[in-house]
Amino acid sequence: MRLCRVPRVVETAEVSVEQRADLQSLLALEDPALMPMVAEGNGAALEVLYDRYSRVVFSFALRILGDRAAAEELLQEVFFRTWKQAHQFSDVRGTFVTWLLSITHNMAIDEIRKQKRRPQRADSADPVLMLTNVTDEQASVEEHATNSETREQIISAIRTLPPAQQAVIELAYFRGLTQREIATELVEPLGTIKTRMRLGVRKMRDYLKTHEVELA
Amino acid sequence: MSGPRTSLTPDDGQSNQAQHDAILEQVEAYALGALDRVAAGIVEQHIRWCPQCRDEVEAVRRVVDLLPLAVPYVDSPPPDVKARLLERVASESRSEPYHWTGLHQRDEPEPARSPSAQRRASRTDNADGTIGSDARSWQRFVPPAVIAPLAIALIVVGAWANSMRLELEDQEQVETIANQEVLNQIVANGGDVRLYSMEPQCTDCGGRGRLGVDVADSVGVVVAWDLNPEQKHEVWCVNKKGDRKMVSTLDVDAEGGAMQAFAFPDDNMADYTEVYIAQTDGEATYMTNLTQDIIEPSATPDT
Repeated sequence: MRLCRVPRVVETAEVSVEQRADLQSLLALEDPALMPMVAEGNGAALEVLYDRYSRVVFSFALRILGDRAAAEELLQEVFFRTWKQAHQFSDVRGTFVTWLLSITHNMAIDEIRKQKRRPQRADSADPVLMLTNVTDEQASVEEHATNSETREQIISAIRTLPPAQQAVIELAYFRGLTQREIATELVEPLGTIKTRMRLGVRKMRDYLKTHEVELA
Repeated sequence: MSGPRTSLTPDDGQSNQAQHDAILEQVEAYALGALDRVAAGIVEQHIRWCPQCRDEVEAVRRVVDLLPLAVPYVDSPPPDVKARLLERVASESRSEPYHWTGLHQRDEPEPARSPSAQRRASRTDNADGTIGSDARSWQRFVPPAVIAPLAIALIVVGAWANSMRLELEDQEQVETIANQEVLNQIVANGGDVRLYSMEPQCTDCGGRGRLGVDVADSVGVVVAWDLNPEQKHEVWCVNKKGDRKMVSTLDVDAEGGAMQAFAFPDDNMADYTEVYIAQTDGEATYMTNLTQDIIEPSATPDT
């Protein structure tokens, strides 16, 4: 199963007829076709990608940073980095959205580590809840179509894990903690944390493989 | 030279298998970003020559890469974010190197550099947009290209020593493994590198470390472990006249590990005889005698 993309209307400000025609033609293009155009300096191509994925990136950034203003700033940085480094993207190594979210993750984790800042969310005290409560009543039709199948599968995979394994994965990936830091936070032996992390990821991997999810 | 000359190449049998198995045990944590800097360095170095582990890392990473999709969507970002992005795209030239400096910091000036640091920075600018703050801290002062072989070698020695100390109680065995790794890396990378030990100068000095020096470029990299993370540390150089100059502070992580590159003053390593690391409270000092390197790079490692 591959991530699919559904073209949708781009809401733009005042644009000329030529610009609108350009945007309309770009809307029909898949991500791998747009990225070379971005690399050549086509701002409209970047705009199309922004409209497709800004909400996903913003949600992910907000989840890690726990601060709306910081997440907005990071969102802009992620797409600016996409603009500057589009030539480094290769669809042979994965889909555009995973590349984009990987950039988002790196920048967000770097930020919270650098600023020694941790999300101050009401649910941050219970990392298990953060991974299991992944219902998404607000997702738009377009975004559901974009990622729905893979999204459902990864959520199902996470839910097969015991809470303790979910917790260590959450703390590592979404809060940027090392195994040793997790052991300290959870007051558990380091060896226990290592085992939970290893088993948790392997179990998710087995689940996705069993359900024939084609990994990006 | 007191270091062992036994090679530990990728083709070695038992030792290599142990290393291989140890890496596979850490693949999931590596993909999640849950290894500390030193342990991650082990994995990164290993997968350079081990296709099996590289494939395994890639496979696990593809699973981890899906985790963001499980995040609940929130409201769409405000429209002004897009407007600011497009304005920025329109106004900034692509030819300008992109270097992310963190949120809220784009307009802040860079810290002042010494004249030699400015010369070095002008030779090789880090324009790849890498965001590892730990690496950035020393790359500002020493050209990454210059110290690459050195850094790789010393990351590995630090990584191995750090990991093996958790498994082995015999410090001598740890040092032996570390030396073997460094020797192999130096040979593999073809660097003109000399390696020195850090000798504790007090009975309570618990730290260990290595100093690698690229003679041609007069740059060094310190890798140390088991330092006191509660204390600040500085790197000093002593020349033949006994004059001392501080060349860098040492960023010690919570586990007592540190890696720091520095440039010898005036780009003249030959004028210096000692490098030492000192806690700022003066309680612990580690001295390196630059006339006694412990491992000499060899074009043909022993087998």
